Amino acid sequence: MSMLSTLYTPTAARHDRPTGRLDVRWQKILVALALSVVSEIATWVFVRGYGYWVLGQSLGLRSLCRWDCFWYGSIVLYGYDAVPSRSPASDAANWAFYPLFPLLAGLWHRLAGFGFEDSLIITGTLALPVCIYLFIEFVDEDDIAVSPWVSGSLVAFGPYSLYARTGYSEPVYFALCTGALLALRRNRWLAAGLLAAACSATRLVGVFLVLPMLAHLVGRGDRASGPSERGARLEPLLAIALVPLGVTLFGWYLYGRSGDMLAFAHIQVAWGRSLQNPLVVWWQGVHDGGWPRVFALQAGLALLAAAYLCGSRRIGYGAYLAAAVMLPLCSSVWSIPRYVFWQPVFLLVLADLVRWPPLARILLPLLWAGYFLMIAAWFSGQRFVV
Amino acid sequence: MTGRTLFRVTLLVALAAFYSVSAYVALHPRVSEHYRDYYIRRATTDWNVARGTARLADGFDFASTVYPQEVDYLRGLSLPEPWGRWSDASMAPGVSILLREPLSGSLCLDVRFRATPLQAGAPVMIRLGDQSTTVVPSDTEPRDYRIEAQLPQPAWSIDLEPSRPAPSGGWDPQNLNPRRFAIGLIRLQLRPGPCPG
Repeated sequence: MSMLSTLYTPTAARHDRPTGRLDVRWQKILVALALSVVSEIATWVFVRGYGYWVLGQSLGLRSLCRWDCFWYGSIVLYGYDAVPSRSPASDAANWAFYPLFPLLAGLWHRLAGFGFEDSLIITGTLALPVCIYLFIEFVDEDDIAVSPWVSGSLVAFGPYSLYARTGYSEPVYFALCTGALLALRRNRWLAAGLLAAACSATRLVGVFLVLPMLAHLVGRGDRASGPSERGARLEPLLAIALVPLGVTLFGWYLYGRSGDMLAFAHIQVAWGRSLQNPLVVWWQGVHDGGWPRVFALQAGLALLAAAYLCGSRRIGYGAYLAAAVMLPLCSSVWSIPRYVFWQPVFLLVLADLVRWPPLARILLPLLWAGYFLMIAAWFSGQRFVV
Repeated sequence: MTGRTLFRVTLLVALAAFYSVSAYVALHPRVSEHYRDYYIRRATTDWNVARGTARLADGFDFASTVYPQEVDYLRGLSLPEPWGRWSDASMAPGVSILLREPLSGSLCLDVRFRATPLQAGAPVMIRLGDQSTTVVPSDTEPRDYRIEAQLPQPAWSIDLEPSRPAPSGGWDPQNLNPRRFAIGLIRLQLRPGPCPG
């Protein structure tokens, strides 16, 4: 538990001169790399052991490519479908999967000749240390006094951190989103806008980054109202206008393929999802019991976390988290955990909580145990982890 | 205005114009009517339709998932049940049997359907092209209706428009199904020529 009790003052860490041979930034990079390597090794050992002793199979990291990984694989191999023809009902298409992640994976596939599974898994795996490093910076920037090992492990060993190794888009989304929020925090508006635009080309919830940007713009008041800064006042507006660019360009591409710019949303009918009142969906989840109730409770917790963020004067983050949870709640509770645990602002609340050592001693082991349980669930084909 | 400011203003205006055009295009997709009904309006449950060798003249049981050759897809009907299919006004205001070949000339339509308690005693309009007739189901039991039509213009669909669609909670408080039922289609037969005496 020495890791948890390490006294760490982020503000001091930012301003102090390097201690020893490594400055603070390099320490964070090393922590991020170390956590990534530990997570890689731990995952590999667990997957091998679980395969050998429980399933009687030889499993490797490549075996983690399942479900959505194959959908992304179809994009890497063949591009986007022209007409819906997949699934038993022939009404599904890969339009629901946003392009930036398979585009990045496609580079490995084309340039290095890797198979689609390896390309997708490598892209996610390489994004993980970036996620961890940026999140450590993000937590520091928010003056939350936790050790980088603790904040980094929230990313590397959360219950749904598994998606960093399964050929899913979550780690790329998380890295871009955290980068955008960090740039925003440092008033680097154009960088924030460009990263947010890339984020909206990775997952639809990325467009909600306009909310923290608007909140930051309103919050900074008239600081840039001098006559010499008239041009500078346009920079935030330009950055905010850039955010939906990613998803809009994707929409235009789909329009060329299918004639429907919103095909990424309309294709959800193939998975039985329709637009509903989120309160009704939430209540139905609670009423149904079992996993839907667990997911509905997670959504409730995430909304509480959003309220906590708003209450602690981080209104932009709170609005972003609330919007990111309400979007999936408009159709189903089943995918809620992915939207909650891969949100940097939700993990920021967790980082805030684990500042208190007694809570950290309970919460962190629970999260770590959740990580390995989810891997086991992944291989046992449980729907709740898909 | 400095060059940098001018550049930013130009970029903002260009983005605003781009998003405006994108919004217009997003609201006006260039897709088939079938795609629109299935993915956008969600007015049909049929996408990949299986068709047999039978034709409408041989009769069409709505409980079947294999359609007659002339049928393109069904609009405004929920999924098949062992006896047939309920109309669902939450999908489309009326029921349409959309066809792949146009109807024309003299035709005899036989249709068997049942009505919900709210629809019983209320009119149901049956339309073939520009000709229509109204029938009134007397109760909730399955009944046969016969319509003779002379179509001068080709028609691409057979439409039934019930007047009292409602959620099942309207007559059965224990059943809170959100679908809005009115009629349950059981069988339809469309033969060329006048109806037999």
